[in-house]
Amino acid sequence: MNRGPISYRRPNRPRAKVERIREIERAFHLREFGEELTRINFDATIEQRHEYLAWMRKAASRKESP
Amino acid sequence: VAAENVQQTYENLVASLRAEGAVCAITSGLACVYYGIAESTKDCDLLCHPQGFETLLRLIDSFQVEGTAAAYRGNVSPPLDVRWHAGGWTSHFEWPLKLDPLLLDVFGQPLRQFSPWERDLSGLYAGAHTVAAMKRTARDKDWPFVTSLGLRMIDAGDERGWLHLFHAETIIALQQDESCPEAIAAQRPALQLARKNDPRLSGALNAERKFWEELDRRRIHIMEQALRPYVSAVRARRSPTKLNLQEDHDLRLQCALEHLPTSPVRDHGAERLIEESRRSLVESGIIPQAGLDWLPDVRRYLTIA
Repeated sequence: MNRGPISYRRPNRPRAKVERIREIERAFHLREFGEELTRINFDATIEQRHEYLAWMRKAASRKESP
Repeated sequence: VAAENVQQTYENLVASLRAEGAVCAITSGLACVYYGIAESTKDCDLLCHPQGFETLLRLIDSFQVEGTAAAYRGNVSPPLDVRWHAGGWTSHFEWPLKLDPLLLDVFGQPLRQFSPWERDLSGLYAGAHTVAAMKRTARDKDWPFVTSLGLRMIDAGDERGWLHLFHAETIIALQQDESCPEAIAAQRPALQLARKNDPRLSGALNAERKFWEELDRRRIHIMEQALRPYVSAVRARRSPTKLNLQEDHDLRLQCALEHLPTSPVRDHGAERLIEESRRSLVESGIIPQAGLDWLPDVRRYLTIA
């Protein structure tokens, strides 16, 4: 599973509309979080996202970031 | 439990709590990661209905991470007790591991409640609506998460997502395909501007965000002032020998009964807090006097007993 479900009911929307909303969402992530985290947010599974964040924390502590 | 997989550790705790009948859910940063918005935190914020506090305290006591038992964090944590949680206090625990402690913050209720959180869950996690409301803090870094959660809600057909959008371009782009329901727009003056394509939308969203930030800053200040005598009392009474969790809990309860007001925000007055925040935004020049019309009515979201 890439992202935890918000609702277990699927909204009744044409595919083009769904894609358009995802595009807007992705554009917002790109603007706020950058390319790498956008990929992690949209394309990685929840487990991969946690692994990535654990790696980030480890890397930060090795470089003695606060 | 090993600390390597932090998320799994907390999920295990919540699953164990639920197995014993407690109503609880993981919220804040770890919930954002679950919903597809990576936040680099390994601290866990847990919503737990106060009826489950006794079970929670017992489980925290027995739940060891890498052989380390949990403890209340420092002298500042109020006791895990409904009397103080109903008034907006939170309790703080830690597993003091050698390299990096694991931190757990417990909320008996969300600080800003948009709907009953217990009815709005996704697996072991709080619903996105609750998480987005809790993220309206005085910290800059939290705000992109609010809008991101709102977008996910709209994508999933949950119209309440419109309540959480704070980026003008995103709202304008969304409006081309989706219409914000009248009842939702009525709750946010900024959304009413958006529906009319009013160029003041961006300013109104900024004013609304600054309002939430000011409310949070002032709430924290009120709580910190009220906490001081309690912290001094806990510090003075703590024995040099290490107390177990239950002994520490009893000591904190005694100190709280004597020194910690149950609901400082209620004592201060929720209406007064709101009015002071509005006035401060205008007096500091953050928003113009006319901008007060863009602020939503937040009274029903401040759930202070």
